[in-house]
Amino acid sequence: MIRAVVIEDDARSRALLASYLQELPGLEVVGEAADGLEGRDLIERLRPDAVFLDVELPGLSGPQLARSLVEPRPALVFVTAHAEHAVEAFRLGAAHYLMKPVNRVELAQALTRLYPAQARHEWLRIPARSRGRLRLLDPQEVEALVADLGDCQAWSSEGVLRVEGTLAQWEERLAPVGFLRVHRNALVRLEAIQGLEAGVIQLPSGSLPLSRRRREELEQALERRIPGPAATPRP
Amino acid sequence: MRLGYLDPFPRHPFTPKRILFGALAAVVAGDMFAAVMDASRNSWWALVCGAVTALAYVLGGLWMRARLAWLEEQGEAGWQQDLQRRRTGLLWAMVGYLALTLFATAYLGSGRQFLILTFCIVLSALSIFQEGSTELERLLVRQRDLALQARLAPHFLHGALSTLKGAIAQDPLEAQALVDQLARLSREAVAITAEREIPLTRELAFVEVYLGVERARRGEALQVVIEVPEGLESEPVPPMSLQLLVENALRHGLPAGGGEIRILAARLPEGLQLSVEDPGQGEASQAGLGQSLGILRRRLERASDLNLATTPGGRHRATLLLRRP
Repeated sequence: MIRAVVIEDDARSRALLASYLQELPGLEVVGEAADGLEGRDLIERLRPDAVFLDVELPGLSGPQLARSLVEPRPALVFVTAHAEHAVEAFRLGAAHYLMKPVNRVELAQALTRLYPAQARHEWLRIPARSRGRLRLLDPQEVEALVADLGDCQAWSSEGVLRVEGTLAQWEERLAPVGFLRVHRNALVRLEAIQGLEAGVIQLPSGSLPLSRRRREELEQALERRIPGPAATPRP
Repeated sequence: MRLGYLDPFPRHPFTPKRILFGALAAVVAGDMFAAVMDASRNSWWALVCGAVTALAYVLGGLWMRARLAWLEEQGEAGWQQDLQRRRTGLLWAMVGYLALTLFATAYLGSGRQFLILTFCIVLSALSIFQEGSTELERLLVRQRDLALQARLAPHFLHGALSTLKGAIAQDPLEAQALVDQLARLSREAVAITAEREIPLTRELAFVEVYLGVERARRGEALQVVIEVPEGLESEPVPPMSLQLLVENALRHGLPAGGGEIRILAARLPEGLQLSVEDPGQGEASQAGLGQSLGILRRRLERASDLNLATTPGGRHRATLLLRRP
């Protein structure tokens, strides 16, 4: 079990991040703090594995707190609204950093990179909106992910569902479990492909265009027929 | 064909009315100067001085007017160059005037009257020059402001924020998704405008997120067709160029109920051509003219590289030609 602490002064952001973390099995939020000093005490007392740390904090700023920690230090994930903070964060030995507002996809992606060995299959679930409610799709339920004006949509047996995250993020996340980018705007699960003709990919829910540039790549992948032991995401 | 919503170049200050007032001021200034300088207080001499000064002002004003009108076609690079030339020109004019005065006093005996006359003319010329330069500088500042505005003032965020406010109560998941999109949009806006050029795909991805936010505001009635040949995806384009075309189409070409926007790219012998077509049924083109295209047009070296046309089907098409260097 990965034990995590969230240090963030804004109560709502803290609650949101903690709730996203709690959604992930294999991970437990053991403590929350609203300022840097309180956060340092919490870290020393609880000895967590991972700390999600805001950069701008009252009491002790994120970087100050990071500097004050003694070994063994937990993995630090900085959470910031400013990309410029990233450089300093990494200089201070940050394991990762997340941009605010944090979303589920980037969070799961970061954790998978941080803890490849402990990554769970559930971390790869695709948060989708189905009839106004959140539903976590298993990648095997999805035929394709299609970008539509900045929205990402999942084609599934339930129809077209809007999902969180961007196609680029999903490409990185799902490539190890048999998904391939077939077009600027589409990512397809190879197993779901029913047919391929004249630059068009046939899927149960419909067809998608295949880009000329990616045709060869797709054909090779189909020949290899990457077997889909979907249960084990590789890091 | 030029459509109404293309931002006209801001009016330069040398309107006939302004020149007339300037000339009157010049008459008074010339008279007073002559009266002070000319101890004999010869009234006809004051009149000559005033008239000559006014004439110099009118001629100079007309010349400056034509010059500014010509400059408006040149774009920012031209203005910069012109300002530079102005400074050196002014220096030479001063040197020339000094030499002339020395010549006049040395060879024409008492060059006093000559001195007064030339001084009046130079005074007019200087004031015109000064006004012209101020105007150019004002344009440059305005231009930078606009660039900065396009860059920093996320004008497209404000509308979305009100949609967001509505969505928070009605559909929290939708609201969260919109927040993510807005975050991406503003982050990407900052990132791409830090570059001089970006690949067309990146601009296109930015435009898609922008359109996604707009669709969340306007409902599903907004349809977008993107026809960009695969080979053009990595062509370099200035950041926000396509976005401004699209924003213009949304603002002026789209009827309230929604409609179809087409984004097209083509390679021409001169360079890359980007076009955005809209149904041409937006609100008319009066107030707050052409914010987006105005910004774009000022960034072009040749204003004619951005033009607006009506297709046979009655749709509007804004076309931008990005010349190969």
